[in-house]
Amino acid sequence: MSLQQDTELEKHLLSRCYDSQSKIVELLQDRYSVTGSQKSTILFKNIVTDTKKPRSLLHQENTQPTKITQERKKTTRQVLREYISGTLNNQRKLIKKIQSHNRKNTTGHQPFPIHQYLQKYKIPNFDDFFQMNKLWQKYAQDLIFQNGNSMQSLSSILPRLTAADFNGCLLTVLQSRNTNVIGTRGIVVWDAQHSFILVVPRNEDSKEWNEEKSRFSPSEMVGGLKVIPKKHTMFGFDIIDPRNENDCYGFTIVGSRFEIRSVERSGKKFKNHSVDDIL
Amino acid sequence: MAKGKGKGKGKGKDKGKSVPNRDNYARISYLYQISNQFYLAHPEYQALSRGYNRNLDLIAKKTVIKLSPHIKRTLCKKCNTMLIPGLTMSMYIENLSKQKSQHNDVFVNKCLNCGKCKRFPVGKDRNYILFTDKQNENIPT
Repeated sequence: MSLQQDTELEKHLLSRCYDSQSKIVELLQDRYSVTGSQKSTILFKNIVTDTKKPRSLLHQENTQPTKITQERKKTTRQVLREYISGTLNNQRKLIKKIQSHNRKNTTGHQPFPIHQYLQKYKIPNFDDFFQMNKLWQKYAQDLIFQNGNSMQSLSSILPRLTAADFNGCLLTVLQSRNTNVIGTRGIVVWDAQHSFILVVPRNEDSKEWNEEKSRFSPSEMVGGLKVIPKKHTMFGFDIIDPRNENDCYGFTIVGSRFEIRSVERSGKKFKNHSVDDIL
Repeated sequence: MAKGKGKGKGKGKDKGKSVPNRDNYARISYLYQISNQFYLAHPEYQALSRGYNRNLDLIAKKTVIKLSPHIKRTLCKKCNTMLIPGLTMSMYIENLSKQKSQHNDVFVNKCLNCGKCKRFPVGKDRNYILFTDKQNENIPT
């Protein structure tokens, strides 16, 4: 009797929400049953869950999603950039190790085991690039001493040298606003737009005035790659005379005027600019 | 090895004549040589070798130099790797037809670095000669 009185109120409310009487009886059964689901709530809103939206006739499900493979994500520029930055990171780690060893080993004379660490960190070796420098010398000699042994005039040499490739050239930093890079020499492994990436020799070959030294800084002990900015820097290189091996011709590159991509230099004409900020 | 074959191709008979874009041909030949030298002598500098090959491709496109197909077939189009048979390239004959007939033979060169396949339908014409090789044959020496 009292149960019926309670359900009369809910029945009255549910009849405003639902059309069919069987739905109302089903909801009340769910709520007040002894052995059933015993729901704690009653939905006073008619919610329809089964209907689907009518789709366009031209709609097609994309059942096969195209996967971008890992190889396609790795472009050549990306791989090269990762290689250069990874090598520079390894060089920094090795320099920190040498500094830490020098800090601990102030009194003792135990040298740092540099060679096994160079192999472990895969630091580029200058001697690996020597053959590349030989090829570059032949290439540059062909540009300057074209068609035989006579040297071309300067007005025809310089446009060819600006369009030439400098990968493999032995560059030396002659002048710079950054005084720390003056004297650095190395073989160019990559000619970026705003920098030259050189592989520098180790210890006594690293700079011209290091040839009589016996103690070297950690970065000179490591060698490897160095990124020299082109702006406000003057570089120099030599081309050996094929007629006489002892003679060579020296050229300089003003780096502030050379900040063009190496590929785009092939069609580029160099023009005069103001000389305010050249070095 | 087809080194520098794009240089002065088809103009071998008149050697005194100046070749246009000679500097660009020399540069492309040099980049090809150093990338090949790196791949064979120092394979740990593979990223540099791929970078030089990419520069070679960009310079040839920028200066509109017609490279020989012998050079183009040794460079991967997608990842700029030097394609060396057995090392970075696999070569096989493929036949996808149901009847497996001879004229459907395809010679596939697959780059082992990026998976890009170069397909040559050799079954259609087994005596096919490249245009550059035809030019070489026709020159009387």
